[in-house]
Amino acid sequence: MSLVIQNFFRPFADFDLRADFEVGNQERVALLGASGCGKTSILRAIAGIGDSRLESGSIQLLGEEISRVPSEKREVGLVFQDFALFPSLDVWGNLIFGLQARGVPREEWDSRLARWVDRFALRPLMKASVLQLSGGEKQRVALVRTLVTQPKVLLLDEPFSALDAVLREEAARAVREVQELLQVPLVFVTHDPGDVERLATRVLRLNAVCNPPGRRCHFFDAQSYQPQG
Amino acid sequence: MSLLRTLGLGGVFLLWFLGVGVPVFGWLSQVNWGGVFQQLADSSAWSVAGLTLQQAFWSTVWSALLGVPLGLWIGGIPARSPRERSWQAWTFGVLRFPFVLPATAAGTAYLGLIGTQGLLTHWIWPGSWSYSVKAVIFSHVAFNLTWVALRVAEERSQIPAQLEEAARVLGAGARLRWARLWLPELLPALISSLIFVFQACVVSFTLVLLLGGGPPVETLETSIYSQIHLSGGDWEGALPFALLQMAMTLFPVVVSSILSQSVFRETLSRQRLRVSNGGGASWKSPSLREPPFDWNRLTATGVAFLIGIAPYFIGIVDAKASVLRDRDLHEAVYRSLRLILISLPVAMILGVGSASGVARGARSAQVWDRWMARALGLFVALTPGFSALVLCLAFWRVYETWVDPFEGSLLAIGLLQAIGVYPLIHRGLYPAFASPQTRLLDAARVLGSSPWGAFWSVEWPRLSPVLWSMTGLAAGLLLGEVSTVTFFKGESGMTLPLLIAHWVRRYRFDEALMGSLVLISLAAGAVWIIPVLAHKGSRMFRKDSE
Repeated sequence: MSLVIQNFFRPFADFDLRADFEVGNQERVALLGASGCGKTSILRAIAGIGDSRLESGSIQLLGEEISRVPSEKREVGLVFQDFALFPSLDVWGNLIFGLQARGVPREEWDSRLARWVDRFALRPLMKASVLQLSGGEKQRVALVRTLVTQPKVLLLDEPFSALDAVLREEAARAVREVQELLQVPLVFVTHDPGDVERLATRVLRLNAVCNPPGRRCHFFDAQSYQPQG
Repeated sequence: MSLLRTLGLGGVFLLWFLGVGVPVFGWLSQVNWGGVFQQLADSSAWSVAGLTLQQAFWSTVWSALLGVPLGLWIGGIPARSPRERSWQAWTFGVLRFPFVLPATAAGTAYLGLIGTQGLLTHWIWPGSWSYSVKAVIFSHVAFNLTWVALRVAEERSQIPAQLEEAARVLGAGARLRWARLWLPELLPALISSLIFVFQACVVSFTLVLLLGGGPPVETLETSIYSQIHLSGGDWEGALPFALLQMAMTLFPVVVSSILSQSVFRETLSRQRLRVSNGGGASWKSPSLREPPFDWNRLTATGVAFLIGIAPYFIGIVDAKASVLRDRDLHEAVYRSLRLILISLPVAMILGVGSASGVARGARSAQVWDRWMARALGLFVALTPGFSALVLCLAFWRVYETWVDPFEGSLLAIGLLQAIGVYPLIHRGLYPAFASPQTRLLDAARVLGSSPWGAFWSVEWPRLSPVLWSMTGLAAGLLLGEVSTVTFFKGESGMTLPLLIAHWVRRYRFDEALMGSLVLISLAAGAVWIIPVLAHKGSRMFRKDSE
């Protein structure tokens, strides 16, 4: 398995979050659950952002333990719910940010970008300010910004929540194609069953149990099911 | 509402032209320029200008060197849980505190630190710094570094945590995050705060007088004062100093005006982004167990606090409490408070009218509104370029039929003090006015609310805390204002800061320190109590009206 989460534990003010699951290279796993149950926290923990001092357990990516590796060295790709595009940079600046950050030689930039820029119709927007983009355009920029860094795992935090119904369908198809092309594990967070049908090959549903008695525990585990779509 | 807005904007234009436009341009039109150029060729003003530039430059550089890292560190305090948010607010409050402390009180306290008998002089640096450029620079840095730190910290804390996280996930190390993410966001605030510090050091009066002696360390501002008050009202002799000072202060204003276009764009961009990002909050998950205090940041804040305000308390320990019963002190306090009743409302009218006018104009599609906004923005940019003494001088020359500095004029003092403070009120209020809750206002109107009702229920709860805190800040600053009072005071018009300066000049340091304590208490009281009382009153009134 490419991504293995074992005995993950994180305490919150009003519940404990636990997770135990694995994701294979060809899988697109949806974390499904109500708002505020800890879905995003799992993604953040895989990406290494937030306070890792409060976490325990193991996170392995391609057999390598990464739970204590700084986020900038983990080589994971995370697309934020609100896209988190840098307002001080234009579209081009946002797209090459990760390449620059990871020290990719300048000669390689064009070839890496060429692979995705046309596929996602971003070439006419390269000099545009990210503030002028529509929701769909922002989503494409955020996705390509992540893809060009060739991440070992792709994490999407409610990727389609800012898009309308037509764009959702389009975006889901694009993500599906990308993942099949890259053959990397994909984990995404959603509370929309429609997104699950559009994209997921497997679903991890949240279990809420009280263990110890009186203390609520939210548990993501291997009790998963295949979507019907 | 539109009538009120028109009246408010008319009031701002009228007051600005009365206090700045007419005096400055009227005065410049009276000048015999041939004579001035001849004076400038012979004048010693150039050497004074050189010294002024030198101390202002080094004060700004040191303020930046100390203030920027401090601001970055403090601005990085996370604000996710209520406890973290209150800790962040407390830290920023501490940084704000030295800024509103009266310069007279600060100068007196710095004398207790680096004067002949000062603690640092005694224990660390033998040989007094009194009446030296070093002392002036020290006091300017101590007085201004918290301002730089505050502006940087505020901007740093506004950078959405999500952007920082996105940069990290994309592989950016600390250096790249600084260069590509932080710096572009911080640069406008950094430049504007450094220009502000530079201007403040050029026009600084009280600190130069107390720490530099003015002479031996004489700047353009103290030279203007000497020409007017010590050379029997030689306003023509003061002219070369005033012109050089205006050139020195207006140059950064021109630069900042050019930069302000990008500052404006940046600010709007960030606000739009925050709105589109749902307010920039990145932590949707349930709150974490509260993390422990960051003691390193507490130490850094403590250091800033000590540099900023500890000197005030060092000398006060030995001062005589009997001074508090001094009749002169009581009268000076009374005069200071009476003066505030004039200057504070005028300053608030100017600040509120200006900030709301610029914010509205920037959003408006109407040419007239946009023109008004540009004019008001220009006023705000230009005004700090004129020192208080230059404005006083111009005011006197143009209105000399009605006001005489040697007889005193409460109205002139009130208006000019308000003019001096209003750009700061504008800057404090502008962000709040620039981001109205349009959707909520529309919702209130659709639900049947009148324009006033919608404003009262949607905008007022958001604007009022900022408004009250700026009122408190303005009151604190006005209480400590010296230059205008010095220029226009009558024989019996000594306000509290002036009385303190008077005591210092007569080597009555115990009295001066106790006076400073009273002044600090009044200023701090205004800064903290006015917002609290006003906010409570406003809430009670809202409850009654509901």
